Amino acid sequence: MAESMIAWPLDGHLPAGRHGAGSGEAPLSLMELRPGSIVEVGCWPDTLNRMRIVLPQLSRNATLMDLAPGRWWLVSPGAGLAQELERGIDPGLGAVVDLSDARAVLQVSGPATLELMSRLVPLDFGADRLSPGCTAETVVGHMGVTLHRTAPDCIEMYVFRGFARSFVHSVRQAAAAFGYRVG
Amino acid sequence: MIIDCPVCGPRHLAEFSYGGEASRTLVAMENTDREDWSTYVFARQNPRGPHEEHWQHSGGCRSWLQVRRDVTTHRIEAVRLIGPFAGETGS
Ligand SMILES: [Zn+2]
Repeated sequence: MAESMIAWPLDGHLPAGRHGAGSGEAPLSLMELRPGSIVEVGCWPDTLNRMRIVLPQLSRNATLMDLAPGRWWLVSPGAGLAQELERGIDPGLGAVVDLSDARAVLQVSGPATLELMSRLVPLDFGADRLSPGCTAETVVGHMGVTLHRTAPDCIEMYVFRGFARSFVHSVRQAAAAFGYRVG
Repeated sequence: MIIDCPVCGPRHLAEFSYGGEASRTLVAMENTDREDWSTYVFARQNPRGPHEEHWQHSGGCRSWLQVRRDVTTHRIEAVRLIGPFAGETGS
């Protein structure tokens, strides 16, 4: 019931079909991801070592992303992860912040993914810095973005929900040079 | 200019915000001497050569860094993480 009330941030901004340059199979595919939970966990300097042990145990089937010393994100398809983590992390160990409704998530995949990213972010994908499984925080047109490379040709991008339209506009414009498919 | 963030690795200047000269020390709050405060607020070393400065990786991991940068060549001689997680690298 409540599920049907959710307005996803990229709803209506990614029209289905083939767009941009070329014809035939597009080298890029764009899709809004709709994880039920995005949670930030932080800890104190003196609980860093303990959190490094505890957090992987608590995260279970959630994706655990390392952002900075003492700062992690956990992402899972189902709702309620923040409440679950709060039960396992007392304030003496760290802090849990539910970001589930605070981010828009866009997935880019296909053989032109890295070429597209090189037009969007000032990261060196040639160096083996952001290998599959890695996370990076950077900027797209002055908008802070958290990247998660889930496979060689697949990157998930998290932006503040309020930037959703500007962000997807930037990505679509850059992607149009290659041609992309939605849906 | 590229700053090698101890957390994120080498990143472009566009991701960083300048945080001022790092060699100043805050005047004690109970000190009301105008000369001391004037020096703290306005006086800078402004060297030609290596300079200790604060930078925040604001478009990245948000960490505060202390950077030793040659202001004539932009050569970065040292970068270290400061704040509560000083000394850590990566996450
Ligand atoms: Zn950084």
